[in-house]
Amino acid sequence: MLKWWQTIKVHWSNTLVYRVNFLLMVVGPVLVFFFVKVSLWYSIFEGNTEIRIGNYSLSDMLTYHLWTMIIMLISRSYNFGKLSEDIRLGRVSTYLIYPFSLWEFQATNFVSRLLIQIFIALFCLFILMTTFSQYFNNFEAINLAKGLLLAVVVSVFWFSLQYLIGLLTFWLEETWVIAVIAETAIQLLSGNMIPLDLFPEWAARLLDYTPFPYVTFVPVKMIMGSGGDLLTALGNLVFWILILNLIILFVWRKGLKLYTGAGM
Amino acid sequence: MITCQGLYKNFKTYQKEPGFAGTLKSFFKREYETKSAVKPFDIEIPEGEIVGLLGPNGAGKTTLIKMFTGIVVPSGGTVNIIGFNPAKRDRRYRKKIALVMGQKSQLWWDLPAMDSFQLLQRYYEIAERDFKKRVGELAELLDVQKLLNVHVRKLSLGERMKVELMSCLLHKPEVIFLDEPTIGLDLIAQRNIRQFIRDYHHRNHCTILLTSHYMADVEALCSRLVFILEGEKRFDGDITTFSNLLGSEKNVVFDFENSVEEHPLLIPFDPHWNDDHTRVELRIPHNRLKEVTVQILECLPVVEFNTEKLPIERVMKTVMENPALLESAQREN
Repeated sequence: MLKWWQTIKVHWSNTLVYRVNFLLMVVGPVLVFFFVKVSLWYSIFEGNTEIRIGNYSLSDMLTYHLWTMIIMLISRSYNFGKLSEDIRLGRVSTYLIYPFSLWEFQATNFVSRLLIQIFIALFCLFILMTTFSQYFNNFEAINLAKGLLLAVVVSVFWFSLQYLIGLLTFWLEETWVIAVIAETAIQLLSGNMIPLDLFPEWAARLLDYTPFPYVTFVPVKMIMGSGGDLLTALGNLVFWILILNLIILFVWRKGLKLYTGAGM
Repeated sequence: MITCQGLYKNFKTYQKEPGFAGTLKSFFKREYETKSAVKPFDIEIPEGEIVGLLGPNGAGKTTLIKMFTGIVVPSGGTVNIIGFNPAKRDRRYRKKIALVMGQKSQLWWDLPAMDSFQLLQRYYEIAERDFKKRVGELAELLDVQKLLNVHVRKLSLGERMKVELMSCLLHKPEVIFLDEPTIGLDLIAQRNIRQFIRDYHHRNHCTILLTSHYMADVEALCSRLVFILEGEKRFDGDITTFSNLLGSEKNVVFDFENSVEEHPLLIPFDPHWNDDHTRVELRIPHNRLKEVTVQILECLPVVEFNTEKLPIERVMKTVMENPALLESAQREN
């Protein structure tokens, strides 16, 4: 554990060197995305608070997207291109020699970022709750705790997925296009833009066989008090995380045979 | 200690014709080529020896080091280093080796070296007391006590190389792989690093495998030299035998009072002139040294001359131009 803790501290020190850059990377895209979604839904509702689309009034929709933003602030990883670049430029060689694996190094980096992101998310939540209190009427602290716990597990899902995409660099050299496509598709299919209960029923039923609803829709609904059973959601996420990590193990073993340790 | 038999590595690369048309063509149809980076390679290095791996760029030196350290998986052959197969990346093996890369920093660029050392202390599970003692000793040997708390990016290349070396030696490795440890350093820094490696080896009796483009590194540190050409081992033996490959020739440098034209007397001895033709370097067989020197002194306006052993760079250059020389040397060895 000491190895992990020391590495996390070094990651924090390193993050603090470029703190403004880090803060902008964490908060910037989420805020921009949030305002785009708010403008879009405001136009769809034509600013009318009486109209309902499905079960959502304009106010419900804005509350949904405020919680989506908090979930994203915690769960989204911001360095998916780094592993790919490190493999391509041969920087991972160091972690093939140290008695601390590349996965451990990347995982500590993820944990260090996650802890900072949780702090940022809670700070943003406090600001939002004091500024837009009208959108935070109907929630209970226990539901908030459940949703935030799910968000932390969702972040492990994102990390595993992005680590897997990064490892594809052993074959593809550049993986950022795949990472961007995967992220955009998952944001759409997880209910980040449109709540999944507004999807056609067949599509929503199909998505139940994937991990995507648990990435955004379920945690948000959990906070809003209608997300179902916490253990079912956790079980589903853990199942998909395990699947991803089994694939990671397979891809790592195969990919390493192709590694050339460039630049040395 | 280090043994490998028939160890080889092939890389698959694809060829792309230049220009946009080439890019388009390679998008639809790629022509792959398998390149043999290291051909079946055998070596045995006993414990405590320093061996120099010598060869031109692309000869396969670094690929060998990568296979020995477990960075690259060999395409075939066997390798055993202190009882481990490096390709398996056993943590116990990784704790016993170190790799110093002159062209690549392993330290955290934006942090002081001491932060990286503390991280390595945890990775290698070095006890606090041993760690402090080791940092103190190495910092003193390398004279870097004042640099440990300076951000790595603010260090000069020579200073950075010293702390890089320090970081690789904190865990007292049994086998050290040095890949171009003095590359890019000025002459004084090169000498300091060499001196340190020599002292360190003397104190710790570790096994060292060194690759370098600077022959001075190999001459100063290694008694045994392995010469690689196009992925193949072409010479493995005593450094003196390698130096004498071109026979018992002496390198003689003549300085002239003024510019001298090409002289028929000099032509048989492979003359190397300076730009203004006031200095020439000749390779003269030992048995004709006296006779030829007297003739040159009589015919040309010599102001100074000196004799030295043929530099190993010249030997290597000649050997690369005429690899057949190596076969006879290898037979003698």
